[in-house]
Amino acid sequence: MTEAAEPDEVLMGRYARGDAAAFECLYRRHEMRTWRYIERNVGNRAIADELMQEVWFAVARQAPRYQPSARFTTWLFTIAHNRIIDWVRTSRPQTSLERHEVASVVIQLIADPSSGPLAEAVAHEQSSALAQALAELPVEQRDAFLMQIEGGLSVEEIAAVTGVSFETSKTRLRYARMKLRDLLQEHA
Amino acid sequence: MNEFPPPNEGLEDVDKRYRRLSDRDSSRPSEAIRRAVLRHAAEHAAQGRAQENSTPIEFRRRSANQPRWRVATYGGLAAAALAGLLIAPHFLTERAAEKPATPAEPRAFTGNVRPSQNPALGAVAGADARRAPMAQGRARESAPAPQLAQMQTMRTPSAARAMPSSPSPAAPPAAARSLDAARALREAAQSGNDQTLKALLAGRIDIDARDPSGRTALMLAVLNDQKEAVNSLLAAGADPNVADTSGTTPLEAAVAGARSEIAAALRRAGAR
Repeated sequence: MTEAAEPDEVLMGRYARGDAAAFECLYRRHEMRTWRYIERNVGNRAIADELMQEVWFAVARQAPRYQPSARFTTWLFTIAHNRIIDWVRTSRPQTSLERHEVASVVIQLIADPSSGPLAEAVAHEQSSALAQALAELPVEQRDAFLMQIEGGLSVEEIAAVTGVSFETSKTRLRYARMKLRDLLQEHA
Repeated sequence: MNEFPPPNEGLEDVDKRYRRLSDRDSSRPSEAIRRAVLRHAAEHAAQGRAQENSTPIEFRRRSANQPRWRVATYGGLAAAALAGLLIAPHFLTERAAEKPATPAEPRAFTGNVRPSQNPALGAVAGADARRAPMAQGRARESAPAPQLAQMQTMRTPSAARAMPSSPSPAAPPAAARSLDAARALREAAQSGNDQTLKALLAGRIDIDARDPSGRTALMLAVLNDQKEAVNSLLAAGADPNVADTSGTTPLEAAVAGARSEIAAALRRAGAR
């Protein structure tokens, strides 16, 4: 079986035994979903970079304790969720107010110029609309929604990671989707 | 939120719409982050390999089997055995001589525990020893013998000798007693010795004291799958969010170890 086809849990086991290539494979597999989960929760690229690094450093450090019976993504998103909560608790209030502005600037900076000005403008507008819609969701709903859509976590897993009941998680997800449906109506 | 469940119509399309818009977003983590993470991971992997490789000693190697090393090894073992035979009687007679002078032996726990709060542990040395007679009586009535025997073994030999029934200048300072008690608590949590753990928790003790790796008693109980110990520590007010030096919280350790019952108990206690 090639590395790319190996389950996360097997790769973690290999990394725990000292195989750095297994970690790299895991990182590349989950890089974007972790990044989107963090970046869309905090709405700031620099902070997302910092938290991203913290999360994956923690994965590397804690690898010897990892048991293959634990689902890797649940564990990964537990760590990511905790780092975000820590950041929310310690960050200054004005950070969240800058959210739209920062997201907009970031999107402008990273837009691919080779795709042409019109495509760039459209992509910018759509990405911006998504960032804005997510920013308008209550924190808990956004967190639950991103955990499910980016991490692929089940309702039970989200309930476990966030420490709420199954029903509460389910309700958060439903309300998040309702609001997003309305907010993204014009981009259908 | 209103009382009625929201309608489900059109909610399936939200995910598709999200993904379509998400695909247009080209933001990604910086290359510097990727490099830093992979470098950090490679360093940890190398450390892990080094630790694995450093443990075994290859006795089949030719140099280890040379006669001069054999002589040194057997000579060393013989010397150690002889030293043990000479020293052991000295300690045995010293302990036998101590017994008549300490009629209430079970009270001699070195932890920083108030006798008034913890009858199971009895009195401690120093100023608290003034209240020893009452506590000794209670200790005899309520302290289970195995628990006390184990506490005795947790004491250092020097501390054991410095525990007469009256205050002594040789008694260990309060800070040292406190450290002993914290270590005893961690050991009890790690091994799942619930009787000892509960007895220690009944006294005044720093429940969140850490070992050199930053692990609290709660963390050690989690790592060793000691459910009862976890419950006892949480009930006694252990902080469920104290991370070790690597930044791992007890909840993260429980999830990593697939210990769902412990993870649930930690979450109920407010763990993150």
